[in-house]
Amino acid sequence: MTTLLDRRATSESSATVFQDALREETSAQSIDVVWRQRRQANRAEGRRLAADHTGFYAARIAAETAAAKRLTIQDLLSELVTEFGFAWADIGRLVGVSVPAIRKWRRSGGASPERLAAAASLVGLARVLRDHAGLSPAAWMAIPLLDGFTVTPRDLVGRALAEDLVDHACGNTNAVELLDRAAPEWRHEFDDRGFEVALMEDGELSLTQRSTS
Amino acid sequence: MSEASLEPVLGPAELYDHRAGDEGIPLWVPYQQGDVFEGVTLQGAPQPQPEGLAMLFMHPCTMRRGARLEEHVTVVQVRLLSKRRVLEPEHKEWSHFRRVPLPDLLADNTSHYADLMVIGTVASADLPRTRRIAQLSQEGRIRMVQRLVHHLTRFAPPTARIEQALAPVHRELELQQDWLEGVKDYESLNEEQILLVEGEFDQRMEETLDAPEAAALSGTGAGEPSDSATLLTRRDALRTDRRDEVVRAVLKEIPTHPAGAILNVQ
Repeated sequence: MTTLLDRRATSESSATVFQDALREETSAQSIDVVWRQRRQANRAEGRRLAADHTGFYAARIAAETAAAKRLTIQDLLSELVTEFGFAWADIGRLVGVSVPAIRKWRRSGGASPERLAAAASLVGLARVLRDHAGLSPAAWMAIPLLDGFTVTPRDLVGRALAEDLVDHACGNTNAVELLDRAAPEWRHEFDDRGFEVALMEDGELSLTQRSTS
Repeated sequence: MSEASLEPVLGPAELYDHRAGDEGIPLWVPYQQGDVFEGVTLQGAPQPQPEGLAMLFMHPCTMRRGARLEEHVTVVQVRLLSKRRVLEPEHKEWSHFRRVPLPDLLADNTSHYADLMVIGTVASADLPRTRRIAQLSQEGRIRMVQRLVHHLTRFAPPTARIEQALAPVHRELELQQDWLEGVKDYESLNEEQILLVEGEFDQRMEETLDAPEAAALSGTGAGEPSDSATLLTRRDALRTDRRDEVVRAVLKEIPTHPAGAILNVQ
């Protein structure tokens, strides 16, 4: 098994090889080829590191979710509201039930195993966001990811991999990378870049959000 | 010229949080924009409806003073559209933008709508919670607001922005309900008792987020606070990035809520 230290050693030796190769080349074209090879090799290494890193986040989320599954629905809801600041409406949307149903669970339990698992997953994600990104999960989830688009992290829960959300929250990826992976149509779906006069179904004109279609 | 539409109509399962025809509406649930009442007389309405259905439609900050309704509030008339069926979300009847669709409002296989052409002012005393027959879900309220704004101005605001703008007041109303549900035997509270508990919640929301002593200590002299932000009320702070602090502070106080004096009111 290759350790991080092995990789670093490999990386350092390849850097030496790279410098040697550059010195040996005489034409501009061949120097360019060496640069390209080097950059491609680093991109591949970068992708491997990113995959391993998000794998680490995935394992952390899985562990926290597994721990959360041992709690009652009342305890899970209490943690989501009191510790992480989620509104009942947010929890209802993220877990996939109505607010009255959530409030009923809070009073007397009764969540199905599927919904309990969904609530535990949300707790697992929130704990990892708090621990690794150092932020308030509920507040972060309500903030638009990009100027000019309405999309928030909350919109991506269930669409993006949870570890990709954490990776972005930790500053390892930019919003466009996250959105391209999670919601390929995001530029159209969440466009909020202004308004236009459009023809409505009733045959009259209205000021509406600009359409990109 | 591009073509556009308002947000699609929701079906009953997504549109309502509570209906009298289902499990009823708990009395302690706060008044909300979009609540529908029966037995309301709308003076001057061109076609009075037999059930006297009317919907609260103003923004909660406009129709409430603290946790209570203003003495007089504006409502829109709710009218029957189909006696026999629940019109599906795509039905052409809903494309009349002066209508706020209320399919299966009574949970009896009929369809109603709030008629934005018939608006009236009523005494809030005529809207007791016992006459409330439906409450919209948050998603339903947001779509109702889009229809309302569009009806008045021909401007169709994006629902994501409406949601952002309403988020603080929605959070406050959730907290108000949490506060009520912290009272022992809250399910048996009558309207008068509920109003008292809500008044107490309102007082807590008017307190400053930081204790006055702490605010004074942060001052530059003579007990004057250096930063007016430290004197934010909890209600104001819900509109800032200190929202989580407010939520924690309020939720922490619920178990120590002095219910006894309130519950003695008969």
